[in-house]
Amino acid sequence: MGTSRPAPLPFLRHDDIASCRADFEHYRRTGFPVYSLKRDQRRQELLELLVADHAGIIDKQGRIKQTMHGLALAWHFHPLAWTVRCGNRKTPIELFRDDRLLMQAIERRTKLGNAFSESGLRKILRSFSSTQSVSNFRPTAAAAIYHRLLPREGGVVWDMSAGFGGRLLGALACDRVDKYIGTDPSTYAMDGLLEMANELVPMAEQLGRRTLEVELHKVGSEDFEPERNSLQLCFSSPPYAGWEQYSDERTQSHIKFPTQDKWLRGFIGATLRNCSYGLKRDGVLAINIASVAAYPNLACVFLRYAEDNGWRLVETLHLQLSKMVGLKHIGKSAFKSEPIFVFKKK
Amino acid sequence: MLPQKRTPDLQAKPADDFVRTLSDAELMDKCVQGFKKLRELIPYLREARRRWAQPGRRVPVPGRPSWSEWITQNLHVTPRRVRQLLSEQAGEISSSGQKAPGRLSKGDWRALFKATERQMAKVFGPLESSDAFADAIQQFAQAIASRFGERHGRIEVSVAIEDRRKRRDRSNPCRPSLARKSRNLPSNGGSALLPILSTQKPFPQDCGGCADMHLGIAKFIAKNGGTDEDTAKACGVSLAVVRQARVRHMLLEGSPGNGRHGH
Repeated sequence: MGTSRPAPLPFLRHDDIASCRADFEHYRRTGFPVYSLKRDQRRQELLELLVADHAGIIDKQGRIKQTMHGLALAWHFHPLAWTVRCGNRKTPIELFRDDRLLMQAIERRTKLGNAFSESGLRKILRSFSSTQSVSNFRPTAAAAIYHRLLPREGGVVWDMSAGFGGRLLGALACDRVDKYIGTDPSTYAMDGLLEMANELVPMAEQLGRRTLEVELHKVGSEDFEPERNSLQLCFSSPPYAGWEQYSDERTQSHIKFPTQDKWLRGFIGATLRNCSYGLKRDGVLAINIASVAAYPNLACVFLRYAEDNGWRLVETLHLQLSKMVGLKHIGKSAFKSEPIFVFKKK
Repeated sequence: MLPQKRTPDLQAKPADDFVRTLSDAELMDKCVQGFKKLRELIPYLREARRRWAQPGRRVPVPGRPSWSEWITQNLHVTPRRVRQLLSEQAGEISSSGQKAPGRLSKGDWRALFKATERQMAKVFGPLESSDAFADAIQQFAQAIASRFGERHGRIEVSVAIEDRRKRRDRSNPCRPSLARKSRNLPSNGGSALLPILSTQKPFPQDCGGCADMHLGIAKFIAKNGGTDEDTAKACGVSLAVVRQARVRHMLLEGSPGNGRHGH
């Protein structure tokens, strides 16, 4: 422990360009930091999701708090989600491909002072300027909603836009779901959902969850007619009128119904009719929908449309999203949130 | 005149405020000065850890060691010892020298095990035959399952005895084997209203993914082309892993946002 030899600094300073360069080269070599879990990691993630206290994450004001259990598991099965475009923003893949932007993203992430890891890179690739990636419905939030809206004796759930499997995982975590029916027209999403169901349902049974029946259909919710009076809950987060463009297959709602008005009447209208047909008399419809830049009053328009077409709003839950920095001093909540409208048939 | 009682020469510990004013180089000097007891360096080490430790950093940078490597190279003790010292300073060790029990949280059976290890040693330690031990473990686990597992239905716990020495060498179940027999992966074929799940079979041997395997699959795709389904069959992995490989190595023709499915 002499003092003659200057000890090398044990850190990567935020202004240390060399370290950022090394990170850059490392990720150029190893590729995009896609979620990838080994089988025992998936089992562990599932176990953590199953034992998480989902029932308690909705507070008295109807706010659904954030817990991230099971999200990595869902993303593992849907790697192509990184290539889905939101509006006119760049996808994380496009950002990663661009040398200059990737270097800037790495520098910014390093400046934040956090540890630099694959997870850190994913975070900055999602949130970098002019970039946006699709989000997944948090499995614990889905489980909390199932727990709240389903009767104690359980029931059948229809997820009209099953997407990337967050609500399927939520159904696994909540014992009140007897059967999960998922529909989605996207081939990639359906492939991922199938693999999820095939692997995780038996795995959850091994871990002590009672059998969950899963039925998946590769079809849009506007074309799927469930069995009459068979459903206890219809719950989904539909695509926000083409803001998130999952694929360019003709079955996608934003391609079938290219204008906002057609989308509302053609896609939402038909889906609501199918829900009404399939739901029991005391069944519940829960829809997570929010306004987006391309459709700034989407939530209000949807609400009015539903109320005009045989639905009665009974409750609005608030799904807490990521935290925003710097809003406390102006008296706003630090968290972004999206509404979940809960309806019953009139 | 009576000799004055000498007070021990206690070295004043530097205040946190003072430590924070040091520059990086000064702090470094303080941390590595020779022949000092490590305990005296605690305030400096704490500050050094605050400034420089980056838990989770995985990227190796030549000439720039991580916090743990730096400890080993310069303080000649293990990182564990430094962690111990710093936590001791933070008051985590009670006056009797016993570590205070950690907080217990849902699902964290390791913490429970640690907290009750001594009591459990009394119960399970003296059992001599493996059968008696297995029996005790089984009954204990069954009691936990019956008491706390109500919401999952009835859980039956069984315990098997296996002789580790006799166990055969097993290859790492996570290693990808591209030569593995191809399996009939399900295809949803595009039929619109067909309930798909009932026709599917699980992927029991799917390893998940690791960077090496992704690279192998990406090379396979670059060389042979073909659909994801073909690649998955040929490589003996699931469709998700093939797609992870494509995303990781930017082989994205035909996926949303790129090529055929582009926007």
